[in-house]
Amino acid sequence: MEPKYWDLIAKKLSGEITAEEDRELNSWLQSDSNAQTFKQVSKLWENTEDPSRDYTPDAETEWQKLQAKINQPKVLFLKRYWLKMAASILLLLGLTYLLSTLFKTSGGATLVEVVTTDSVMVVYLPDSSRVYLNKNTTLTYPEAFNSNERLVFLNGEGFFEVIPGNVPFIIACNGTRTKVLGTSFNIKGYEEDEEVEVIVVTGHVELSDEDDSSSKIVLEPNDRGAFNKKHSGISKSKNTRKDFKWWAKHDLEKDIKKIIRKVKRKIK
Amino acid sequence: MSISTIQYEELFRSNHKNLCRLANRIVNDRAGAEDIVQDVFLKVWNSRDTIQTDRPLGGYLYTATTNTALNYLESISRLNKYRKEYQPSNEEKTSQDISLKELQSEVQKALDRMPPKCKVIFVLSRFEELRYKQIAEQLNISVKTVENQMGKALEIMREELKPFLTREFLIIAATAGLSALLHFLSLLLIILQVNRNF
Repeated sequence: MEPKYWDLIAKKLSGEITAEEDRELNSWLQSDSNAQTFKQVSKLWENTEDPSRDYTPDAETEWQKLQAKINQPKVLFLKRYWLKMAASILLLLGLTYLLSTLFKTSGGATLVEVVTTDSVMVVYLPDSSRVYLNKNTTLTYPEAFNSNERLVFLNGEGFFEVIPGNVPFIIACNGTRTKVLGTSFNIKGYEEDEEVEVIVVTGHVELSDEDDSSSKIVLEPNDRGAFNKKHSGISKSKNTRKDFKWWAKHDLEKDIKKIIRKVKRKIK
Repeated sequence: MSISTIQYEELFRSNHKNLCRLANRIVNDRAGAEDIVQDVFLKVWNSRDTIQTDRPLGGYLYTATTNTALNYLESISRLNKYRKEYQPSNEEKTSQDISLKELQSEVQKALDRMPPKCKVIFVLSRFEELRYKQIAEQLNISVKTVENQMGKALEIMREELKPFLTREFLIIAATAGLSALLHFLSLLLIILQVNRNF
């Protein structure tokens, strides 16, 4: 049904219809189904009941209420204003505290966050240790290591070449702690992975559950340690993957080739 | 020109009832209507020093109440969208005969579910008995919009209450269906008979 006829019916019922429009409506009503619709709508119109028909508000009570509101708006405003001020200052203080505790671990040092997306990257840590970061990996470390540990946070995959030192080097990765003094090894632990995997190339590595430091294993060269996130279980096996470090070399080789080509061109 | 305290009280006492009734027609909630009118009068008090008193304030109060009630409806309909309140379906009632009182309450429910602006226009025309032109001035819209919204209001109302209105049709349709089935069966019987005879 065309909206025009709804408008015409409404005009007819509310007494707004002109003579010409009335003729148009009448010719439309010649059809039985149209006439039926008109009958139905008129019935509805008649059966709308005024909700205020027997409604008499209590003017006296309402006047008293209004008086109460009028006589103290200034005080109310002031109170609320100070309350708001106090609340926002408190909020600001709380936020500052929260942020400072979040970002200032490891003895108050500022944290550096390195994020890779679609390429491999080499990062040198403050103690000259070298980390190859695979794609889609986040490494967080302090600008300067403190005196009793070298703590970094990894989410993703990294090949670590840790410079020997007097304090342990610790990698926190999705519920695990990998502790070393100086070695090279690969850690793979993306947030969505079921397990965190550590493969050792040289030296000794200690892998433990972050929440339960008594649950730990020592890994030797060519050992593979795994931590299952669901069961929090740590297991050790011989590494069968030969290509675990391939990702780190792969991109580098490309880069080196590029450099060689550039150098050759210069020499010519 | 500013309003004195005495003038203010007089303004309140002479308009309070009608404004509450107007607001209640729009929001269909008496406590809500009284709050709306309180808001309107509070606004008048706060601007009592700047308000123009050379013209009667009745029109201003009327417009302010309409608009405040409209805002109130809009905030409620937004709230209901979040809550996703489901109305019980009308379908169940089709087979029963409903009384006039029930029909009236169903019509009111359909009105309450309409888009706020559509409802306000309908109420102003139906219960406040304003002319289309007056409604247009009141809400600062064109007469054409009033016409369209009135038509839309009727269309929505009919659509919502169809189950109550088409009851007679349903019975006719059901009877027609049954007779068609009987017709078909008798034809089938005749064909079977004829086949057996051969």
